[in-house]
Amino acid sequence: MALGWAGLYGPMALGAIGSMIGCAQAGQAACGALLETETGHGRYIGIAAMPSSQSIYGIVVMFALNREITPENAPGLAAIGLLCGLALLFSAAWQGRCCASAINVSKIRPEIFGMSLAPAAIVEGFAVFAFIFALVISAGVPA
Amino acid sequence: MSDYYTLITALPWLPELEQCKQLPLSRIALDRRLSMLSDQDSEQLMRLEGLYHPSQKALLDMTDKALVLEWQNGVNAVNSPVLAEKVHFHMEVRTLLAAFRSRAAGMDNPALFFGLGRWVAHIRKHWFEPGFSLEGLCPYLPEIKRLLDKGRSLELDAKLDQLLWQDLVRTEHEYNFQFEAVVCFVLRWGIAERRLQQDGALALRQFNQTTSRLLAKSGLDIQLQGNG
Repeated sequence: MALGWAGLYGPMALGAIGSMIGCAQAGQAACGALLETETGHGRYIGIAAMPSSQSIYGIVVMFALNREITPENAPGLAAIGLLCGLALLFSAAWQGRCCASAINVSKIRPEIFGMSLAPAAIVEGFAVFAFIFALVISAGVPA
Repeated sequence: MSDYYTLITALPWLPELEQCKQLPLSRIALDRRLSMLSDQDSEQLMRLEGLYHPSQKALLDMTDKALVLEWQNGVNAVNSPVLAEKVHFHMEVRTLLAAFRSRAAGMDNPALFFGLGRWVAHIRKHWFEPGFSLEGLCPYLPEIKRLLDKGRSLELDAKLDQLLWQDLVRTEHEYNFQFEAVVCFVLRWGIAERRLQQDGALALRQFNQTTSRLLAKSGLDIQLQGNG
């Protein structure tokens, strides 16, 4: 039963932890870039917020899994919730590093700003995979 | 690790060494940014800068043996193996150069040669061979020897600085957002500063400009022309 509850709250909690790590890293990089540049500050702050999307995915998965927890569905909820949460955690944390790199290079050459965001967008894509398929599979967990 | 995100992005971009016509920020501005480092990191950075860019006075005042001992003690106190390796590489290149110069100056007894790094014993053993039998390990060695033989010291210095610069750039990219990247940037800044200070033509132009400005201000040139 405890595993069931962990699976229910896991996507949200783990996604939020990942977002904290990612946003903190990208935010720190943005702060440094503010010191070095005269313009384009808004875009740096915007990039720094990119890893926050994993928290939102986590909340949605949590609501999709939300049901009365029984001994029959607890293992399924735990497996889907915790694995999806871990995927969201790692994707947010590593997306933060991608965002920091994007900030660092676009500070030097603003014209490559869009291209420099490609790695962060690719990492976001994997987070979306984890999110979508968690929703799909959650339909098979007994209510 | 995340402690360096703000600092790294607060550092300006250093262009390629040949294209670096002026430093993107002064030492005062650089030190202000480096104040984000912890006390321990600052101490390590200071130590590494001292090892990588030793003062000319220290180099002139100390014997080779004393210098090598001091360098060895300094490197042992470096916490990061990666950065210790950077200092080692620098010392090894300088050791090779010193070996070429010592041999050219007539040193016949290789046992008297002191240096630092992996190749010292090898250099002593192959003292009388043109490239100390190290050409396979150091692809840059023939070029260094050629410049040294022709007495083209300025080009030789530029070649060595380029070698060290590339080594630091590689490490900076490999250890992005880590302390190693900060140190490599500062060491590159030091190389660029030294190169700019060595630019004889630029120094002469600046000297002439300053002289003209000062003479124009004081009216001394008019007096000199009048006397002439």
